[in-house]
Amino acid sequence: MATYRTIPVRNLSEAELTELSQNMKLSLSTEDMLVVQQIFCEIDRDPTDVELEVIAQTWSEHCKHRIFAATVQHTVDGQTEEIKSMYKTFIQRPTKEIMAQKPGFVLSCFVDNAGFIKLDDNLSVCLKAETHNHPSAIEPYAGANTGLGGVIRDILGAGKGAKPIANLDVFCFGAPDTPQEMVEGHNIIHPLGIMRGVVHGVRDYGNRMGIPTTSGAIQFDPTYIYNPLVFCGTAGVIPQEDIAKEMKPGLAVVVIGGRTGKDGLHGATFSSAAMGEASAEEDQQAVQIGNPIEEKKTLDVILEARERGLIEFVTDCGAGGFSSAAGEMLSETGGNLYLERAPLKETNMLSWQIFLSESQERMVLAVKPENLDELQKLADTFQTEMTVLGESNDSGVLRVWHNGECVVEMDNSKLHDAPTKHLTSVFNKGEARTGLALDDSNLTGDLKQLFGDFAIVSREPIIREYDHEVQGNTVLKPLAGASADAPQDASVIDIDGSDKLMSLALAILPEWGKTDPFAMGTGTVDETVRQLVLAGTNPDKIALLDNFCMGNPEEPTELGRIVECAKGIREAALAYGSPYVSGKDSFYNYFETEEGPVNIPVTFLCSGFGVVEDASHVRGASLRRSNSAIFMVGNTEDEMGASVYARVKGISGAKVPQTDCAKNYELYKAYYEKALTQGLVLSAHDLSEGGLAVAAAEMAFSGIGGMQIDLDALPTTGGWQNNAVPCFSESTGRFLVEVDEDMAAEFQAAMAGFPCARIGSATTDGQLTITAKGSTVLQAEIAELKSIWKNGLTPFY
Amino acid sequence: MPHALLLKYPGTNCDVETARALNAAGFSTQVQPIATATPAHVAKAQLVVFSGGFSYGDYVMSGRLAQLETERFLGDALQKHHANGGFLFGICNGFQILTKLGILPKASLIWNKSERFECMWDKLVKVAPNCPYTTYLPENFELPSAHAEGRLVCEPGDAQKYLDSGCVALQYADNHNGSELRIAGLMDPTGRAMGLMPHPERFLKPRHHYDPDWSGDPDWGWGYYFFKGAYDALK
Amino acid sequence: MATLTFEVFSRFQSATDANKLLYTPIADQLTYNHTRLYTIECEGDTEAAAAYMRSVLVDSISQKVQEDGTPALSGELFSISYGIKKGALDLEKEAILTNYRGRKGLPFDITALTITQKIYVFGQGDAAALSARFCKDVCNPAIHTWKIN
Repeated sequence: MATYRTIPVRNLSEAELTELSQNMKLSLSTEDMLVVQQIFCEIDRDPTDVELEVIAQTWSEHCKHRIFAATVQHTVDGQTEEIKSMYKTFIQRPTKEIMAQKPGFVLSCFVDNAGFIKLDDNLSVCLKAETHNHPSAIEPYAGANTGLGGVIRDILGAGKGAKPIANLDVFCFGAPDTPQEMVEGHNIIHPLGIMRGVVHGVRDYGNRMGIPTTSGAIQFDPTYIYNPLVFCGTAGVIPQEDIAKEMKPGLAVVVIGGRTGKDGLHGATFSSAAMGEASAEEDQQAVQIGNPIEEKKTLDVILEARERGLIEFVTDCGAGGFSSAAGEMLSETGGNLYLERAPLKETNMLSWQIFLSESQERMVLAVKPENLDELQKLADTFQTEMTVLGESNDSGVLRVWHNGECVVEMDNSKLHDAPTKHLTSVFNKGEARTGLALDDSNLTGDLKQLFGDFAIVSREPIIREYDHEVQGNTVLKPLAGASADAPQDASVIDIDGSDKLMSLALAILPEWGKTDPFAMGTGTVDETVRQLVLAGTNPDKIALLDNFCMGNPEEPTELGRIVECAKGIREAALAYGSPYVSGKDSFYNYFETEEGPVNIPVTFLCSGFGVVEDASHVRGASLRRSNSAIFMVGNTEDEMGASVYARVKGISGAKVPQTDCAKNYELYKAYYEKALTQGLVLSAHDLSEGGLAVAAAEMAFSGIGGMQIDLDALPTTGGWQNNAVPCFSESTGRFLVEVDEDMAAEFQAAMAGFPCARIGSATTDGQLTITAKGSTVLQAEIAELKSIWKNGLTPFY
Repeated sequence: MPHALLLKYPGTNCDVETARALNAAGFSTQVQPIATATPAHVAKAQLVVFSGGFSYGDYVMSGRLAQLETERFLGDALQKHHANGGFLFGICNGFQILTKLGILPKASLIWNKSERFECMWDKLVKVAPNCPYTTYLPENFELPSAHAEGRLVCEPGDAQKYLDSGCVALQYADNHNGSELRIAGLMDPTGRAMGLMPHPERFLKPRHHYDPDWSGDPDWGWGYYFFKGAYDALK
Repeated sequence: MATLTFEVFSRFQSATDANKLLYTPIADQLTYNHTRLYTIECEGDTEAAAAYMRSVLVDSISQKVQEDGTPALSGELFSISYGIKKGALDLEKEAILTNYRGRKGLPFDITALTITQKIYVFGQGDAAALSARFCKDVCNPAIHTWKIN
């Protein structure tokens, strides 16, 4: 039986090319197919089906990010500008500028599976985050565990094999109490089912891999009912000399780990298309179940092999399987692969199926022939399968063979890039109202309402399902305080073999982008950087990841929001000097219903990691004394837009918090240099969802004491007309600092010239008391607030 | 210098930090994958350690496939090691394996009462006075825990017998997993073999405690003293 | 060729609130319990095969096993038997088979293994409607096959 076929394309009409793409499920547009035709006319032969599949896969949105590379005509309030590649303009260019300003900090980015930064003189740390949205919507458990498995392999394939040291997981779901009627009639899983499945998937993979899950977030919004988002990230560590890897002729190309089956075929093209009512049945094949023990054995082999110097090159088998791995490894040097050697799960696989299979838990290595025996011994020791698939040579041509026949022959120099897409986007600024007439007669009741909202309630039941302490290095843990159940802003990890530590934090504010996506961009980056600095990170040693998700990019108003957001994150990166060392985007997160498409809000996840210079700099977010001084750093303004308070109270059109990143950078740097590293700080907590009242109570959830705060002392430039504003505004750039009473004057002096004021004290009365103009405007038992907050998710999870 | 052998199964994942703790206490430590482990490895060691993780994924039930594979690769070498005065220490998944190997008093570790994996710190109470692993520990202390199958159950009456005969090394003060008689750690009557669900290797340094104001010990976390106790008993 | 079944269940687990299985609660006062049913096809010494399977599957301290093919629990309103569908990865099955293949010289051959999760739901109500409701939340056609009894 023939395992491949030749597809005549050279004489096809435009219509026939389009039909061919559809029949083969290539997801290539007519323009794309015309370029394919041109390529094969130039080399004067017809392609094989394998070659067409390879091109379709490499040109897919998932792999090429063609939307972020597109030329966009962007119109804001009637003014049009042309953006040639959002990626280059807003992400790569600022990163290159920052790298030029800070030589030696970013050790590698844009070229490998993850971006690397310098930790100390010997070691480097890296971080990568990915989405796995569509598979998680269809089978949440399997979708999430293969999502996490995939990003762990990205780290294993970064450099010559980095060691994974922490996982982060961020989810966007519909609310767990979504009424049954809202899901009935659609072929979707209830948000609570999605949440349970996704959490269990992450738990069962991450825990078995022995990687602590130290950071995460969950957003709830009704638009995510149809399109849940699942972000998984992994951080790694590697000696600096093992970052660079290079393919050379004469190396053996080896696959280790799981076997190859008909899994996930067309997975990359699948994740680039919208969900429809029928997706579960049509795309069943796209859902795989992960095998964490297979991956753990692969990890053991790779780390040991790297330490012994056996690895010349390594990469993961992600989207595109062998095809993308071989493309990465052999497209420059050239080489041969022999498909019949690949260990298969099932018989009767066609050439393209073997070459494009996305079966999990496989890694591809390039090894000197003389090291093959030692690598085989390691594979046997750790009980995993290893196979030599082929070899590199100096021909510059990748040839793939199957049972003696050449099924792919690709000369990299003759291949064209995918044609550039052209898109249009529109953005019209929304309202930005201040001075709203808010009812501030029951701020205590409002605070209790906020603490019961899904946006704020404790994630403890989920956090405890993840092992966040395996590897024995988690210094700043996701649950803080003297009773280990209070919220934490960032996590900090000890690094074996270094005196320095790595910090991790993230922020996601999709509500902001509905009205002011630029402010969402700057605010999200600001929150990430701020959390890292409060935890003890050197503000000049922070790197960021950008992960975007959105609905249909062909809708100009949807695309307009992401362009504005990208502008915001460019500005923020430059101001903070924090480069984007890695990122990923996911489009077409929308759902066709009979009433029309439901797009997710434009969603931007910013993850950050950085260097903590000394363990003595690490600070938690929980109150440590009942007699300390409480300072507010940063200005509080009348910016109620997109706040949890605004959503709970049904307020629309309010001004979304604006972030002056340049000023904030100076503020954080002063705080870090003059206060934190001088030992003046006991603890510090950032102000985010819920504003000051929520942050103050959260700090006191450590169980040590209460807090008394005077609103009149808060630094501000514009002030407010209503006490709900200082209590619940989510102005950025702010944090609460706990300082020993004996050091309060010194702290005040250290922060001179910056917006910083003592606003209160820790107390022994167990109350949160907020006063204004001499009278109490909010008073609540910390224990009662904590109980509302702590038990918010427990009825559901 | 006492030598420790740490057996590593596919899915074992606390070997690095457990070896770190063993080395900190003074042991020379060898981490040995089970597929290449031999009775000779066991014969060289004074202490055989089973660390945490998910051996063979813990599919079917925790520790079962590891027990069968240990018997396949090592025969009765571990039982002989124990009979000849050797020490065995099982942490979390290692406790589950050690229990199934029949070296500890008969008991099983089944799904937590909550039917969930739970990562949290446990308050513990030292019970047996003559356990070498807990020699240097105070009556009450804390360790981090992370497991789904940590609820210790016995055949009727056995748990009380173990308590009466001094085989209960540790009890939970809180008992989040629902163990019989709050048993957190078991030992054989000699104290040479011990298993516990919490993770001493994760609390090696004071800064690994969740509370930045923890002041139980100036130099080490409580976990260190388990390894130090075994080392001093063997040196 | 012989077919052996092992329905394994915990001695320490009693029926509990069935709403735990659902994503939106129902008013019916139902409880549930669960077991695992292992079915093997084997050739050769079936006694030895049964002994091997018991050594892998059953923990005598905490579990009981039913080997005569009758359901381990009774009195249910309905039960759902579900498993990983053909072509999808059943991790427990793979773990057992890997252990089996690693052993040499066994006096039997296992030619097939099926693992079925059984959920017994107890209480009063419309069994057809309720079982469909439970299947919707417990089983997923993307990875499972199932049967209602």
